[in-house]
Amino acid sequence: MREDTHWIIKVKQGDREAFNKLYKEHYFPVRSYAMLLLSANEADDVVQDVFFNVWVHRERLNPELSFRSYLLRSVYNTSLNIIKHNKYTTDYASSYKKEIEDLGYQHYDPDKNEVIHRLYNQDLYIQIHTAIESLSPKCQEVFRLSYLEEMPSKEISVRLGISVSTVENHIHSALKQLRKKLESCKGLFLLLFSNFL
Amino acid sequence: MQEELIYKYLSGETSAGEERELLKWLKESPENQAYFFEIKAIWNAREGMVCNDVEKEKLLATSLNRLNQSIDQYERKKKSISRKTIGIWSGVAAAVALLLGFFFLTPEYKQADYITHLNNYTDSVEMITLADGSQIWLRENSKLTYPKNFTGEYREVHLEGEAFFHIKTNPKHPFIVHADGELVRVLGTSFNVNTRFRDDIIETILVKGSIELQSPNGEPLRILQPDQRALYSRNAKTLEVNEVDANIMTSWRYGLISLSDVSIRTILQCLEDTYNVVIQMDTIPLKNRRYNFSFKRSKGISEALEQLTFMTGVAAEVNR
Repeated sequence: MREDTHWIIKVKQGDREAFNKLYKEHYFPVRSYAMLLLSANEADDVVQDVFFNVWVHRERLNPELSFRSYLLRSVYNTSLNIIKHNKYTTDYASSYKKEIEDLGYQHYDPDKNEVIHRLYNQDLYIQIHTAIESLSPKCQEVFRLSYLEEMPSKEISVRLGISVSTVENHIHSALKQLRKKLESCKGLFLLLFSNFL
Repeated sequence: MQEELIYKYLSGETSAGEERELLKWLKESPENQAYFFEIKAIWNAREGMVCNDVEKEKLLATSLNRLNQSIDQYERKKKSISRKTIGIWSGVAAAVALLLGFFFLTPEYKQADYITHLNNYTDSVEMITLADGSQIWLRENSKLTYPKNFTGEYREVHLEGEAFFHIKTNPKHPFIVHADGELVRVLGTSFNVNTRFRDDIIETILVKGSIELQSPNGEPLRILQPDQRALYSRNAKTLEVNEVDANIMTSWRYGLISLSDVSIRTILQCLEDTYNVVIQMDTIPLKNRRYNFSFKRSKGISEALEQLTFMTGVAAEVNR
C-alpha cells in the first residue's frame, strides 16, 4: 500500500490508468468494509460513489496521507447517510435484528475502533492469514474450512468426524483469538477511545 | 451461552427469540457490544479477501466499467459546458476565448516527472544526486521518490526506509522530506531519516544545519538542533528528542555501523539483525552498562563478536 503515493501523484495529474489501478487495489477490502453497514449492492454503489468523488476532486488528494484510511472514512460517512434515509424502507425479518445492527454502526467507525482500523487499513489477506497461522492445529483446520472455504458446520463435522458443537466452539475460539491479534495495542486503543467519549 | 448465539447470528440462523436474547446481552454493557461487533467484523472480512476467483475478477471488472462510464459522462458534460461558454463569447476577441479554454481544459498540475529509486542491494549504500545538487545516500531496502526537476515553491521527495540527506541551501525553496507519516522541512543541511526505526516509529538525526519536523498535515512539531535525534511515533503522535553523536550514528553511509550509548541487548539485536544469526552471550553481568560500538559490516560477524568480547570481557559466539 506504500505504492499508493506514486499512483496518487499520478491521479492528481489526471492519469486515469493510475486511477483504475488504485480502484483494483482497494476495491475488495473497502467493499467488504461497506458490507458491514449495507447490503452487497448498496456497498458496491457506495464504493463507486466514493471513488467517483476521488476523481472529480482529485486536486484535494494528499499523497502523504493514507489513501485507504481516507476511503474507509468516506465510505463510513456515506453509508451512515444512506442508513439514515433507509430507516423506514429496510426490510428486516425481525425488529430485533434491526436494533442489533443499529447498535453496531458506532462500532464500525474506522478511525475510532482499533480492530476495524487494523483489519481494513492493511492488506486484509496477509493480516488474516498470519493470524490464522497462529491458531492451534485442530482449531486452524476447522476454521480454515469454515472461514476460508465457507463450509457449513454440519459438513465440517461430518468431514472431520467431530460433533457440530465442537466445530462451532473451534470457530468461536478462532474468532476470539483473531480479535486479540488484531487488537494488539490495548493501551493505545483505550487512549483512542477515551479521546472521543 | 453467548458463544453459540453469536455464531448462530453470524451464520444467519437465529430465531427472533434468540435475537431478542442477543440484543438483551448486548445492551448489558459496551464491552459486550465491542466484543460482538468486532467478531462480526472479522467474520465479515472474508468477503474482502481476494483469492484468484474468476467470479471476483468479473465482479471487479463490471464495477470498474460502470465507474469509468460515469466518469466519462461527467468529463463530457464538463467539456460541453466550457464549449458553450466559449460559443457565447465568440463575438469577443479570440484571446479571451483562448483564456477561458485554458481555465476549463488545462490540467490542474504541471507535469512533473517522478523517478522512484529503489535500493534493493542487500549490502551497499547507493548515492543519488538531485537536480539541485543535493546528495542522498540511500540505505538497503529503501526507496526514494523524487522529481527529475524541481518546480514550484517546495522541493519535495518521498522516503520509505532509511537515507542520509545532504541538502543544498535554498531559503526560497524549502526542502521537504515526506517520511512515510512525518514531514521533515529543511533549509540546507545534513541529516538522517529512518522511517522503519521500530514498528511505527520514525527516527530523524540532525548532523548539521536546521530542520523542522512536522506531522503529516503540516503541523509543526519541533525544530531540531545538530546532534539531536528525534523519535516520532505515528500512532501516538508523540515526539521524543535526545542528544546523540550524530556523526557516529550516521556513519553507516561509509559502510560502518555505529551504535552509541546503547545496552548490550541492543548491540546483540543489531548484530543478529545485520547478520541474520542468533548470538549466545551471558549478558547478565553487563545488564546495566551502556556502550559505544561500531563495526564494519563487511568484516563479518566473527570479527564483530571478537571485538565485542574484547570490549566487554564476556564471551560471545554464534549459536549454531
